[in-house]
Parts: sequence; structure tokens; C-alpha cells
Amino acid sequence: MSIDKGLKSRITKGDILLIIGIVILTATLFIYSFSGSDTLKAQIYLDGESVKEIDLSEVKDSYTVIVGQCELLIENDGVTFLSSKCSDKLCVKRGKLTKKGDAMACVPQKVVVSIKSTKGKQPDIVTY
Amino acid sequence: MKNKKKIITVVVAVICVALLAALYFWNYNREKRYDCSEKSTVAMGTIVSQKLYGEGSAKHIEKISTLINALDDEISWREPSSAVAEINEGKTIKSKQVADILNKCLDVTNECGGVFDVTIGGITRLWSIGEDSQRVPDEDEIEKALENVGSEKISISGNNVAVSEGTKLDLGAVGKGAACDNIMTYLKASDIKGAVVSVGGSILAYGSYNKKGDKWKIAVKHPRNDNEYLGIISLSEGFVSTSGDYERYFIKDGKRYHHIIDATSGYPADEGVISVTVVCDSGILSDALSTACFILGEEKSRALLEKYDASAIFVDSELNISVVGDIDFEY
Repeated sequence: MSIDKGLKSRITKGDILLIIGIVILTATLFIYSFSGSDTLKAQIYLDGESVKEIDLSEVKDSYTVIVGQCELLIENDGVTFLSSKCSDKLCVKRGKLTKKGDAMACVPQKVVVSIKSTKGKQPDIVTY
Repeated sequence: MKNKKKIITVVVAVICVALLAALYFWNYNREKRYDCSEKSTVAMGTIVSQKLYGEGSAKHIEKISTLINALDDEISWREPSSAVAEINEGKTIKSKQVADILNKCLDVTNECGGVFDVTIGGITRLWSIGEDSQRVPDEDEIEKALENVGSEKISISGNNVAVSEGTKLDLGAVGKGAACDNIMTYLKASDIKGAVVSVGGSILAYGSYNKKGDKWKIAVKHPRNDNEYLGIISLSEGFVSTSGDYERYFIKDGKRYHHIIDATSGYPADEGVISVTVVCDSGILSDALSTACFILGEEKSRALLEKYDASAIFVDSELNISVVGDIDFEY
């Protein structure tokens, strides 16, 4: 009796189904653990209080919002300080905040925009 | 006989699946992040971002904000009633906080040949970089202001602090790191499992965000490109500070004048470095060392870093990256 013949006689259809079941279950667990797209959200604070939380992936057409004395442009890929009634305009000069960990404050107006994410291999915080 | 075989096969298969599932959930549980509370606020004239992990971490956020503001009220020269403002006015002030900070700063000043010096207040006010009144001062003005700079201008007796007439303290280079030190002390006495806090880019990392004890990923800002990071530091616990020529500066006649002033010359440092990130076990030291290393340049900084058991990432004007010491840095 050859080895192939011996195996064939021992492995039944039920065994094969069982193996397929295990493979599917394992694959499902792995897919579940690594699933989820990297969605960015913009958290906007005024004087220390969170006043807006915007899921940027849901922004189809860009729009502006007024927070305190600052005008912010909300786009699918980031947030920009368009204008501010501060003297140095550092917040406006910063440009678009696009990555997780990006943050900018208009210090005189106490407006903070922070880009956050819950998924993906993005950093926890940024040193600058 | 055939049925017995089948039963054994099924039992073995079920055990395998159960073990696999148990392994998966054990690992999932270890890697799962604890509950997180986050907040970004404005304090010390900059952004403070807190991420605290662990059950009930939300209640600590306000306490940490209070700690930062209390420190700022004591060490900001801009706050007229602060200890530092009063010292700058010629008074002798008793302040353990200020004395402790100054003692650490004086140690670094002595080790770095005086390029980093917190008595530089008169010079930084002449330049006023980042403010409406920023300008290139006349040489004479700088020469005169330099007469009031030097560690010998500070007198500390116990917790009593005073400076010589005309000398102005400016703790701006180390204030954020000092805040990180205070926050670390608070965190260690709390039930928080893990935290990363940024006080204007000076970072503290504490504990972990999961049971597995994964390291924090700390991105270093690219000095010339806002759309990418220079790289990622993996760190379990400690302090990270960056000094760069890109945060506060102005350009006049094609020359960049940044805010990191060499206390021995009175002019912005020009050793070909555009960014230095320091990792060590103290917030004040990481702040002070990043400033000193920026001014000294890589070669002269090596002994200084070794003395404080610190590590650093240097970026030169051609964007070459050099890592000195033991940092888990991917770029």
C-alpha cells in the first residue's frame, strides 16, 4: 500500500470540510484584526472645550466654519486656518493640517485644530 | 472503528479551533488600547495635547492642565506677578520650583561652555523673534546686552533666587520640559496606565496604551516639509524635545533669523544644524540639551549628550540625518 493510498483511505470528505472550516475561521479572525480604513477626523477646540469633531472622510464638498474669531476651511484631506483676527497669523501661515498628529493653535484666539485617527500605523504624537 | 476515528478527528479539530480562538483573543486583549481621554488646549502660549490611557483617565486631564498653568504663572517672564518677573525686577524671591529649574539649567550651561544660558532674556527681547516687533538688533545693542548674560549673574541660596541688576531670566527654552517633568511626577502617583503629552512639541511618554506594553510612536516633524515626518521614534518612557530653525524665525535680506540664540555671541546659532531632537530621562534636560546641541553642532555635542546619558537626532542644512546614541528611530 502506497502512502498516497493510505492517506486517501483515511481522509474523508468530512475531514476536508472541517479543514476548510478551520482555514475560513482563521482567515476571518486575521481579516477582522487588520480591517478598518484609516479615517481622519478633525477635533476643534475653543478655549479648551471641544466644539466640533469632523470625520474628514465624510466631507464631500469643502466648506468653511467659524470658530471663535477664526475661519477654518474643512476639506476631505485636511483643515486650514483661512483667517484669524490675531496679529501674527502664524495659524494661517501653517497651511493645511493633513496628517494624524498634526495640530495648530491660534494662541491669541484659543482655537486649536488637531487631526486624529483611530486606525493605521500613524504616530501617537509629534515633536517639533 | 470508522466512527471512533471520525469522533477523534472532530474532537482534535474542535480543540485546535478553540486553542486558535483563545490565542487570538488573548493577543487581541493584550494589544487592545485602554480607554483613552484626549484633549488639546492652549497653555504656556502653545498647544498642549494630552492623551491619557486607562479607566477614569478623563478626570486627570483638567488636573494636568492646572499643573501646567500653575507652572507658567510662576516661571513666565511675561506674567508680571510671576516669580521670574519679580526676580527680573531685582527682587530676591523664594521659589523651590524656580531654584530647582535654575540649578539644572546652570549645570547644562557649565557643561556646554555657556552657549545655552537662561540669563539671555535681554538678548531675546532685543530680537523678539516671532513677535510683531522682531528685528535684527544693532551690534552695539547686542554687545551691551551680552554684558548682563552669564551664569555668574544668578545667585541661588537654598530656594532664594536673585539676579544681578540688568540681568533678565528667560526660561522659555526649558519651561515646556519643566511642565513635562511636573506632569510625569503626577502621572506616576496616579492610576493612569499610559500617557503621551505634548507641551508645545516637548513630549513626555509614560507607561503604555495596552497590556502588551507596546512602545509609543513619536513622530519627528520634518524641518522643511510640513507634509511629511522626518521619522518615527519608538519609546517606552522618557522625554523628547526638538529645537529647530523652522518654528519661529523671520527672513531678512535672504537670511533666516531663527529664535535659537547662542548666548555667547547674541546671534542665532549657525552651526549648519536645522533641527535637533533629544531623548533623555528629564524634561528640563531634554529641552536644555536640544537647545545646546543645536547651537554646538553635532561634533561638539557628543560629549554633552554622553554626560547626561542622552541621545539625539541631528539634521543638517542638506537634510542629512545623524543619530547619536541609542534611539529606536525609523526614517
